[in-house]
Amino acid sequence: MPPQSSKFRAFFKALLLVEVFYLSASFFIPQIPGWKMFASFHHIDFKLIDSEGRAIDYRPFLPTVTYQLSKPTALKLAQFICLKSANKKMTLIISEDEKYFSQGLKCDFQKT
Amino acid sequence: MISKKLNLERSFYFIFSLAILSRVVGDLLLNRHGIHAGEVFPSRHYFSFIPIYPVSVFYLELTLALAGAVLLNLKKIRLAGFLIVVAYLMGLSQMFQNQKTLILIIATTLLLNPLSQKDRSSIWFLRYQLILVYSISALQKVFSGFNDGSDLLLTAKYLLTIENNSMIKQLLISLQNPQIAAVFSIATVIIEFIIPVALIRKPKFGIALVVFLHFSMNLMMKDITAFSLTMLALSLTFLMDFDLDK
Repeated sequence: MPPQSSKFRAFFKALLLVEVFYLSASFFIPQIPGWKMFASFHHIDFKLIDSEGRAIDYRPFLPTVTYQLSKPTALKLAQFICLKSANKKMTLIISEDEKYFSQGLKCDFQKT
Repeated sequence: MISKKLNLERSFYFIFSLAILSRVVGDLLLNRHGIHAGEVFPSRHYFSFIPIYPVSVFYLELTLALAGAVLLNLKKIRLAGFLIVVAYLMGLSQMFQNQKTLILIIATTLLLNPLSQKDRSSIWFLRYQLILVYSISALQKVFSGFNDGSDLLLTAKYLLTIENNSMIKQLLISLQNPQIAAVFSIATVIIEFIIPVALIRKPKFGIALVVFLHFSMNLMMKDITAFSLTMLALSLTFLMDFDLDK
């Protein structure tokens, strides 16, 4: 199956082996992107509100198409928005039982 | 026969250059400008030890990619490959996307060894890229339970929030039906498994399947045109005169 003769043959074969190893690892290690191509969809729903209870529209702070949005990314996004805001008191609501409040000037979101 | 082979190579380079052009447009539509201006959250910044660079460097990255795309059509393949490799290493350091890694792999291949009938190792290697993408993607779907349709249903639900076209919206609404979503999911997996086999045995039919699958996906999904064009370019390598079994 490999090409019959080429000075690059060995290099491409080695590269292909590395790729196969990497892609095999992606089945067992979720952090490895691999070729998952929408095999699973994680786009969590959450609310971000300011200290007066007003909802903050976070969508303009995201790339226009963001298929995957995990909880850690939502927390980092909330911190990004908080750091840009004059009012640094914000609450990230993932569900009624899971709320995070921003703490201090660095906008660290802590679970309550 | 020789002219047919050359036309296939030209077609490969042309479609691949369209993929790069499409990725440049895609990056602008994604508002990557905003990321580099500090206004948008740097989503998928996996290599966080490399800082987000300023807007001017972002435009340099796009210019290098565009120059590479132009040079591909002027038969300056190694130089084109070099510029695209630099641009995509830069781009990946800022925002990781699988489709960019595929373009980077192809550009690296062209930089080292442009398509040639004398040395077919690049053609062989690029064919394997397509086989890996479809087979791994299909296996990932099987193992993650994609076949039950729930992930496609959720994807369609998200797409409805960003879609403006009424006809496509209707299609996405139909995917909110769990049975329809399951049928589409199973069909997607089957087609992904069939494509590599079809390309090896009946390349023209295989290419038709690639076009059908990606046209359907592009109808509904945003920001995957570059990926679709890249896969189409890769599928052309199966028409180039080279027996995979040798």
